[in-house]
Amino acid sequence: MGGRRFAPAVGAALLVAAPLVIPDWMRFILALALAKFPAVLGVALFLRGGMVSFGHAMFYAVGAYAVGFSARWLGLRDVAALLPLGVVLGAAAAALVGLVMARYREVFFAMLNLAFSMMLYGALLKLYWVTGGTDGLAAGVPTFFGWAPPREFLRLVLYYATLATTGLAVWVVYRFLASPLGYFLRARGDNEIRIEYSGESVQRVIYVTYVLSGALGGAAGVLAAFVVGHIVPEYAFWVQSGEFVFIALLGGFESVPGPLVGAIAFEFIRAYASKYFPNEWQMVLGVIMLAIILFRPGGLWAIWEALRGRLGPRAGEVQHA
Amino acid sequence: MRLLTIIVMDGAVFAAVLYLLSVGLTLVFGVLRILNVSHGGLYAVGAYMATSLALRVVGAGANPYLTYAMLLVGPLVVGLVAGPLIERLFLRRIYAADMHIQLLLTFAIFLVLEDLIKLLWGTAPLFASEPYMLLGQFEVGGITYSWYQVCLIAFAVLFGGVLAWAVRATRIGKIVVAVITDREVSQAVGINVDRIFTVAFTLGALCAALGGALIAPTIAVVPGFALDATVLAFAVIAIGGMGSLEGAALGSLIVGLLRSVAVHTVPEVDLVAIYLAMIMVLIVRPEGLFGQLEVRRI
Amino acid sequence: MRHPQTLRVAWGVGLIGIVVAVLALAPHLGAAPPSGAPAELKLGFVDFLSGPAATFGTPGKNTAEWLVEKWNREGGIRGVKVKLVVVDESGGPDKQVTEFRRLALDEKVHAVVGYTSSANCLAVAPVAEELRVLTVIHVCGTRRLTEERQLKYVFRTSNTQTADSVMAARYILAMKPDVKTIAGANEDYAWGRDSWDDFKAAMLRLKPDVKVVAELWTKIQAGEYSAEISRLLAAQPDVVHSSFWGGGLITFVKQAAPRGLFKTRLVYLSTGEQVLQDVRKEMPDGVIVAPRATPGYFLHPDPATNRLQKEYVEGMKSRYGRYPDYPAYRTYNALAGLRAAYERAIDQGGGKWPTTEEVIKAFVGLTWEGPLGKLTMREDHQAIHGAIIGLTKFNPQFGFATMERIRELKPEEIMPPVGMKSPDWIATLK
Repeated sequence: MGGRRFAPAVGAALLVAAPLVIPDWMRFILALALAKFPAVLGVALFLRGGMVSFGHAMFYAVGAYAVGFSARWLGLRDVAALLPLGVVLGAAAAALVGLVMARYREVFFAMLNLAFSMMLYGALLKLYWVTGGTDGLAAGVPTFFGWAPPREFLRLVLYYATLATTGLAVWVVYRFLASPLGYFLRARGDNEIRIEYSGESVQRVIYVTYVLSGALGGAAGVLAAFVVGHIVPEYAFWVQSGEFVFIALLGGFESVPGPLVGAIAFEFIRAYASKYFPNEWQMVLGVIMLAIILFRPGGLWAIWEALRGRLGPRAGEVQHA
Repeated sequence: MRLLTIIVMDGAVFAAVLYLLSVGLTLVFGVLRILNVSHGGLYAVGAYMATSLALRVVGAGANPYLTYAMLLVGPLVVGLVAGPLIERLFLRRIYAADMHIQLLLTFAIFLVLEDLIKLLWGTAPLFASEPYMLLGQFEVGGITYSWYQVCLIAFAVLFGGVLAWAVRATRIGKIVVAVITDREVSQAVGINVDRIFTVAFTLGALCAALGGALIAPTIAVVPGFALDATVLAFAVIAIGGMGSLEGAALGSLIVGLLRSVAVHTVPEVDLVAIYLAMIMVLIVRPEGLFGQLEVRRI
Repeated sequence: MRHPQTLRVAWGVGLIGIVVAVLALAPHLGAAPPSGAPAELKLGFVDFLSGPAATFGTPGKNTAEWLVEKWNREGGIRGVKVKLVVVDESGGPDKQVTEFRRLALDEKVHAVVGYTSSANCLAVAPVAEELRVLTVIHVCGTRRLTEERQLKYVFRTSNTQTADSVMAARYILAMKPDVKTIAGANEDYAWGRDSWDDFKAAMLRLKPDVKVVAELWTKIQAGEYSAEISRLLAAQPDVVHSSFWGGGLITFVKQAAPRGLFKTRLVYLSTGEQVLQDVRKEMPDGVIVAPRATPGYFLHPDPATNRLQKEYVEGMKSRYGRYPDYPAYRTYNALAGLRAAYERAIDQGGGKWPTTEEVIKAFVGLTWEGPLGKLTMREDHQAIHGAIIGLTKFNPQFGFATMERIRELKPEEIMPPVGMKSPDWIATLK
């Protein structure tokens, strides 16, 4: 027992209690961060394996547009129905694209991903009579298992639905990382030949990770579509992928909670940068990025771990009581 | 026949623009093995610097032909200042780091450059028209073209030629090629790879700024125009082969002609066509048409 | 026993106290604000401060600053000072939705004015309705905002982009009744597509034998148009329609003018007025331009005859170095409309400060005055107004082209009636 198990429980408890105490607009930011978190997790998985993807916005957009099309043509806005749909579509897209992607590494992996994502962006933009083009699609008011919550509680219910999905995503990723494939993924960054010598196909490792990250991206897209309420082709733009990678770096991608911390930090930083520097907020983001990269590439989570290490085992005992 | 002439003409113009944009990017990648996302930002700074200098020259009532000099002076200033600064201050620290760190660093620099441009030059569109107008127009196949466009093509070809010669025939060029081919062995042989890195990056920054400066007279320079240019440059060097100067030329030609064909036949697909070409090349020959295969080290 | 020193101090303090009390009360001794009024009226203003669309957002922001300062100098809105909270519209809908919520829930603004991008105004409208924040859209052109949904808290004080296209069709046919061929060069996104589709539909409705010889689609703010210009020159249309804007439009003019496009073809630039001051002497004469479908620009109505216009034009030019263009005017109209709504609501409520719902009620059907004339808010929360369109002619007095042969169009000629969708209305044009 001790500090190790305690911290996640505290974190989870905080996330559950937060919306009841914090101001409304902060709750929105938290919800948006939680919604994007699974996509960031997908990107973080690859970062752990030493690969960068500048194209995961592709799956995020697939999930979001699933909501948009469903709302527009089927009148269906149920989170319980659309989440699995988004996950399946994201995974399917990843399964298709992954057949090509799994053969590439390094810069080519990043660039090819980017190209696919930008092709989707181009298609979403051009086929405007289907996708609404740059005007976008409205997600509408979500229902949950058929239930339409009363207006005052809608945002709260959506928050908890997002939180639950995120929790599920975290569990799935933990299971994956604990599995042989997960260990091989980490090993890929060090030495691919050794993986092959162990009898596992590196291509298979990458492919499965890709499909998983596609599923995560699709889930994130569905959640974000409902939280934001409006879906536009920019969801597939490379800058969105860059944002995911930045969040993974900001929070620290070597852990699972790291990206969550990063997502929350990013949304708050972005909101406050706009508030205090309405003319220079992009530069503020750039400077923060530079600082993290140069001085603490392990991200915020690494800072937290360093602090915890500094406090030592005594802290664990104190918390135990 | 007439349509073909027009397509080739337009394709060549666009290819020249693309070449000037991407040759610096491929050079930096070849030597430093870093994909410089801030390349587009340097391109924009070059354009802004050249345009504002040209406007000053015109505003001071000087000989308008001096604006051509500004198109060269501006990027020189930018390249010689920004190049070593960025390389020494930021890139040097991350050479040993993973690729995603390098990508993110250059992306962060790009963000900073964008807002820096806004702070220095404001948000209103800037343009200097003298360089473009002074040379006049001519007709080909019943369509009027501008001589400046032809000059751009000529300059791009000349520039490519000079670069190719420099790389092959001069001592420093051969050293740079050595570093591109094998960094470790070059170091073992006694080449000061650190200095070569600075030189290469500065050269790359100069190329980017020069590209921006030469294109500036044909456009209105606005905030954010570098964003699209960045992705196009990626597509060009991915097709041509990253790190290859010939690849940049071929990639530019391909993308330029492709776009020209699209515009004159099916304009809607021009965006998709470029990415499709990039994907197809990367699938068939991932290192690009002229790229070198990286041998995997055990 | 009273110490003489203490007495003096007591007098001193008392005197200071009286002075302070008088100073504190003095503002209130003037025009008393309505009862229940807040300490200040907080207005959120959202427009592009970065990126290529900053060319619209900066005049908008400047106008907002100038106008609010003027109002505050003159005592505010019925004695209540106005405070602007400025937000950058860039970053996409997810950022804009976040910012809107921040304005509403953290800054607690009383109303939000702004939004140039159609995607953003469509994204923000449902949030405005959800949070019950009065929102006045000043520029965004998509007809879908007011035609495809019922709005309660959201208003738009300027014509949709349909008006730009219909106005052009009417003007062109009046100028050149024997038009045979048309071509379009537009950006391939909702703005460009809708502008061209409406123009094409209107032209074909008003003169069915017109042929479309080329439809060109570029990337947003492409910046490189030589191929498109070649194609236009080769296709030889009588009329070219373009909804290019900002930097992209300036570049297009720069690249096309020397190649003779404007000499040989009649070209319509729907946002042309906005770039006149930037393009200066590069703008050829005889190009059809408009401040989109806005009832005037800085020379029309003539500032010499219109007090509001004179004050605004001179004020903006002397402070910001640029004459107001259509984003500036649309911002003025939006703010003026909001103020007029507040004042009408105050009067209707017998002098007390109104609730948001009362302001909304006062806004519907309201007619208010701007520097270009009057505007009226319809019950579908869309205001309609007239428009001007004309030809460019270089004006040596200003150093850039101004408009001549200006024709004014009435609102009914260019905007569909309440309840009718634009495409359906265009199909019935006369």
